[in-house]
Amino acid sequence: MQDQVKSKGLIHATEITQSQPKSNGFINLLSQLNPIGAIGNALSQILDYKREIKYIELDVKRIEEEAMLRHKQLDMAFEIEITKIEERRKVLQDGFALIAKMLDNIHLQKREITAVISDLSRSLSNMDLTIEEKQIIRETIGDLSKLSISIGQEGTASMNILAQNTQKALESLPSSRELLALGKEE
Amino acid sequence: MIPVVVGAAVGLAVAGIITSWWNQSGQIRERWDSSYLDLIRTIEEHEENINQHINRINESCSFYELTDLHYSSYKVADEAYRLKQDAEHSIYTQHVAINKITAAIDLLYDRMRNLQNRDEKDILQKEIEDTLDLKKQLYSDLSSLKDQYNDYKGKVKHFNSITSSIKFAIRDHCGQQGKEWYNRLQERIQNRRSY
Repeated sequence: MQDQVKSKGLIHATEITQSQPKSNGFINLLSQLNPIGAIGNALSQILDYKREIKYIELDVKRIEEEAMLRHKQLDMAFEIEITKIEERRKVLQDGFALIAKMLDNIHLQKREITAVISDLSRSLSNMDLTIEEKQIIRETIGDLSKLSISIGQEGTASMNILAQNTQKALESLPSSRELLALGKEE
Repeated sequence: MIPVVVGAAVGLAVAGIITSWWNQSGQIRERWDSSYLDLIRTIEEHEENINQHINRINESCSFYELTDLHYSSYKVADEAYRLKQDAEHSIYTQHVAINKITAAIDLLYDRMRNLQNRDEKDILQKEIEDTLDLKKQLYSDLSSLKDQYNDYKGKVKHFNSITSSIKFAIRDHCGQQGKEWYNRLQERIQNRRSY
């Protein structure tokens, strides 16, 4: 039983590793032949046990205090961790809000560009326009088409920042690999 | 006779005292055993409580971290989807523009056939060539737009898959809190689908 206690790691029961008061068989035999010795021996054992019981009571009290302290430490560690998570969340949400706003602008710009390209392309069939006007329209369509690609690339860059940050956050999470592998739907 | 009786009485008294002490010694030993067992139980109970506390904290931390990651991953997939839709719209518009330019080129060719004047023909030929160049450029840009579309499509797929994995990880590894979160999410998804 003592080995069992020692093997536990969270709470240390130092005092109780002291051995149980023992009685020696030969001394018992002698003490039975000597009544005074027997009384002395019995008294000594009683005192030993009482002392050991006292140790155990102290140990129980100490263990309870130690456990309470451990719970407090755990609560504090949890609070610190939660604060860190909340701070990270705020940074994350701010970052997302910023990039979402950028992507909103990109979305609107692209819609406007495509609408203009569509209108201008139709104008190329208008025979009332002069050659110069058509030249300007062609150049504008070409430029807008390039601009649309370039804006798309900006969107890709913003998207890549989001994707990389999320991927990094995923990889930095302890045991995320196991969690995500185990968490897959059957 | 009297000394014998006194001796016997003393002997009995001593024997009684010894027996009494031994009994007391036995009782106190039982008390020691019982205290010792209490101590073992106390240690086991506290260890169990501490382990449960640690598990609860780990589950809670994992829950908060994973729900934040779920949010990030969902947002990335959502934004990628929006960009993919934009790219899809741009591709469609580019096709429409190319068709309109093709129609304009056809009109120019028709006009060319009816022209007799050499100078006018040359000017029109230049216009046709410029318009053909524009068409070529739009085709080339279309290819870039398609690349962007495929990139966004890949990201939507990748982050949808991650979002889904995180969702099941929250359900399976974050205790009761995770299960409740998963059920609420599924309920919202079902409600959205039924509308």
